[in-house]
Amino acid sequence: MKIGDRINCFTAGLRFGLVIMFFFFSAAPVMAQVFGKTYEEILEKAKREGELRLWWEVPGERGVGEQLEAAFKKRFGFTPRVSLTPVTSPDSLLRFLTEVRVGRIDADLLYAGASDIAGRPERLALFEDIEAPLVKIFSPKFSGIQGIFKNVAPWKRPYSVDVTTLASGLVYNTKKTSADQLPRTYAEFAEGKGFTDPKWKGNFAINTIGPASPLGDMAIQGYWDLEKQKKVLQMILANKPLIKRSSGDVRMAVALGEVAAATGNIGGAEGLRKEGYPIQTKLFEDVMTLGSIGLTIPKGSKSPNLALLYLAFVLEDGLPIVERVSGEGTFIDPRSKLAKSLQSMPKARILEWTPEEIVAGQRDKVRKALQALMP
Amino acid sequence: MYPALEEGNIRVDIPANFRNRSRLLTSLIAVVAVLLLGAPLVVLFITSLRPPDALPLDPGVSLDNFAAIFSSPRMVLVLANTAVYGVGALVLALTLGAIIAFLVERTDLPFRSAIYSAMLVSLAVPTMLKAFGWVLLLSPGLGWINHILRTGLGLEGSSGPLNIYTMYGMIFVTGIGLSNNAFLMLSPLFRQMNPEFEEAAQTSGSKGITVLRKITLPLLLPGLLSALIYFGMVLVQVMETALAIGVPGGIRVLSVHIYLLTKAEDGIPRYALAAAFGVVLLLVALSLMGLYFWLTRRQDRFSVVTGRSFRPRQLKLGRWKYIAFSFVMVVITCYALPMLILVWASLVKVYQAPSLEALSQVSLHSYFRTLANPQVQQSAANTLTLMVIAPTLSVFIAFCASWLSVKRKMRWVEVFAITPMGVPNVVLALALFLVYVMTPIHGSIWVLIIAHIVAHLPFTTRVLSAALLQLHKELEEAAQVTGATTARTLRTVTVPLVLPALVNGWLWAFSATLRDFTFAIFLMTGRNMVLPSAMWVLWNVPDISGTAALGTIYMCGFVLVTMAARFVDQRQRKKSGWEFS
Repeated sequence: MKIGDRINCFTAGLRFGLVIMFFFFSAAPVMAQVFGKTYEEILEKAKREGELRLWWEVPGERGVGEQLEAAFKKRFGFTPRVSLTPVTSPDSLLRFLTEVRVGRIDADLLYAGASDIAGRPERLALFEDIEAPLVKIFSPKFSGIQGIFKNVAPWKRPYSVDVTTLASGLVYNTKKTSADQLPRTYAEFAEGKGFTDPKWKGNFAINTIGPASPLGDMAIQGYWDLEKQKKVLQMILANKPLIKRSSGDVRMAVALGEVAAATGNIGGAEGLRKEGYPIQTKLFEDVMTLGSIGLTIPKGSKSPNLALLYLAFVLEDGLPIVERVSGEGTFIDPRSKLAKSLQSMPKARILEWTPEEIVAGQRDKVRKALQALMP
Repeated sequence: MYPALEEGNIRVDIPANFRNRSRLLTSLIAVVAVLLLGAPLVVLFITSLRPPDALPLDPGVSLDNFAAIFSSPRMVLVLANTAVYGVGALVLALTLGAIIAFLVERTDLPFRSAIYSAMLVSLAVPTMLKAFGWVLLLSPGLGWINHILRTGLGLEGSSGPLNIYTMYGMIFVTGIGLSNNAFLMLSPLFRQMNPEFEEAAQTSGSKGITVLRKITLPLLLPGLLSALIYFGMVLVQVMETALAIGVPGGIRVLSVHIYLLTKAEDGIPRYALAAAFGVVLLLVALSLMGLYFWLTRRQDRFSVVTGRSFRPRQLKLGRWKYIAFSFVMVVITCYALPMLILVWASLVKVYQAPSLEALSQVSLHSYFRTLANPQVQQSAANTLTLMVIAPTLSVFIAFCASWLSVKRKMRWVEVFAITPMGVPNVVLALALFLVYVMTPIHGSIWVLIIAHIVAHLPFTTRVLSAALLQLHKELEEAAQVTGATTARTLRTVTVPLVLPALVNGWLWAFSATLRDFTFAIFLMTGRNMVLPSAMWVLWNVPDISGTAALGTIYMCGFVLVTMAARFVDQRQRKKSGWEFS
């Protein structure tokens, strides 16, 4: 064997060894070191860890937190001290990334949009693999978990699992209008049966300042081209909508009867309806645009086992509680009303920005172009 | 040893130990100022130079953020909107505030003490809730007043005739909302004005308008300028009303424009751009302050409280009393209406316009539900700590800064204290976050306390320096001539004379702390949740009756504190012989 071949052989062997070492050191041992190996061990360590620093806005809503606490105690027999920071998704990620820079991580379980993490390897590296322990250790005892992970998009795995799905649709006041008055499809919406119809003049709202595009990313993935979106938006704006600053404000305007209907995230309307407000939602039959926010466990968490236990609990018992109380469901949970309502619309295309599209700047381009038309 | 006196102009030779104490105090103030204000401002400047897409603390230097500000295609329209909105609201706020301050402090208007308290109470309601109250009253489709007008005037249709979502609506709501702040800032000026100057002018044959033009207004000039500059800067920054009323009506002003620019398309806020805006606004604020100092450079001309005792003269209103009283009542009704509609919203489980039929729906359900919320309970204790410490320290530091500036001619201290005025709260919150994230106080209640001290220093410093400007130096000099130490002079002469301004400053800082959402949300962690953050969570759900209930509880708490502060203030007035007759 010539010296060059020997070197090649050595290099190949070295590469193979490095790859094996990389997998050996990076994958399996992390799970073994950070989380307990068995359900009992995780439970025991979680009890010892005691406090969970939870960054998630949902438990602060309409008594969700109290119901989660009671359900947790019923299942595990103890009540952890939950330090709840009800922060919203983009701000939570900014804060987390800044804290990471100075080595002071203040969260054990973090609520963040996977799409803002997935396309960036340096951000991905900041989170634990949660799927392996949840599926391997918790699925035998928690029947819902495996079903949920089957629906998590591959690009969000293994570090994030959706707990909120922001589904764009229509919300309307049942005292002021009815479902038949509203368009069934996006196509109808654009062709004059939606808010471009003069009958809605000044009597509808759109949600739209800030990062969201004016109509909830209505033409994701080329469903409509940008020119069509701009044309529809211009027609809608000419019909004098009330422009609200958030989905919550839109729902409030509809619930109070300030306007008859609105576009926006449909989640949360259920809570208002339960209180007695005349509010109802309607999804488009041909397309549904989604945005998801998930829970993740940051590397460096002080209470990783408690975070994992709590996450398993949220997926198994918590999500149904959240949907029942506040009406915010998640598309990936087969038990959710939102998932079931999608099954009843088999023709609907489900559209969500992917990390590739985001990194390529497609989302920003659409949003920027539409925001430029806003007053 | 007695201090030396010079003929003609009193010169006080302060003993060496007094000078040392003064230097020590100055050094202490300088250290506090640098820690509180210098560090965030430096961080703000550094952040503004970060590349546009970078995260805070990322490396890199760029001027792109400044270029983005001035090349934004909407900037001309936004600036025009801001100018109309700012000038309109400023004129309305200062006119109402000044007229009511004059009537309360210098005339025999009936029920002046009650009017004073009423002016303060509406400070307790967060601006966002007040704007929401006005929407419930004047929204074309929902407003209760519109409903009454349609019914009363027999108008057809289900919307109008009034529309809050216009430029007029924004100016009205903001002007009314700031007028009680203007009142609070201007009333000590009227109260401490020695009437001898006006009487001398009248004795020499001047008429009412001439006295007002040549004596009263020039004497009030520093205070009025101070208020004008302060509210001018505030109006560039205030965002809640512009978001709640301007945006739905398609009107964009600078504060909202900054807010929208910070919300990048990829969901991560562009704080470098916001910081660049903060730096630009800071330069504008500093220029305005320079102008103010130049205009008031001969400050002794404005000293109206001198060593000779005086009793502020009360103007007899005569038959104008009823017109003046009616005017004040109309303004107070404007304060009360949005609060009353909020109280109503808190009493009905499902909101409906007030009516006799709806009375059957009234219950305290929302209050019980809100008070049982563990987050609200947990936040209450933190809020109490914040409300006691932040306004008190803010007023204390402001007093020291104002005293050094006015009495020791160290104007840089005052300039330094008021620099945060130019920085939008959201940017200041980011700067404070970046400064303190590396320290153990990050995430604790102390970071909120520091944020509120820094944010409220400009107002409290302005209030106190305006009041100190009116105290002639002979008062302190007289005390020192008789051997009083600096501390004793401050305790027995200066502080009692500016007590009304101290109380007003404290109350204002208290109410601003109570109303703030920006710091409470931006710096929020599970350990430092306060009631504003709890209210924000309820608002975003949206939990309409729960938010209204918490807002009402706020108002009640504030009424109690206001009454206590008024009690202290009035007792001092009685001591000084300034009590309302």
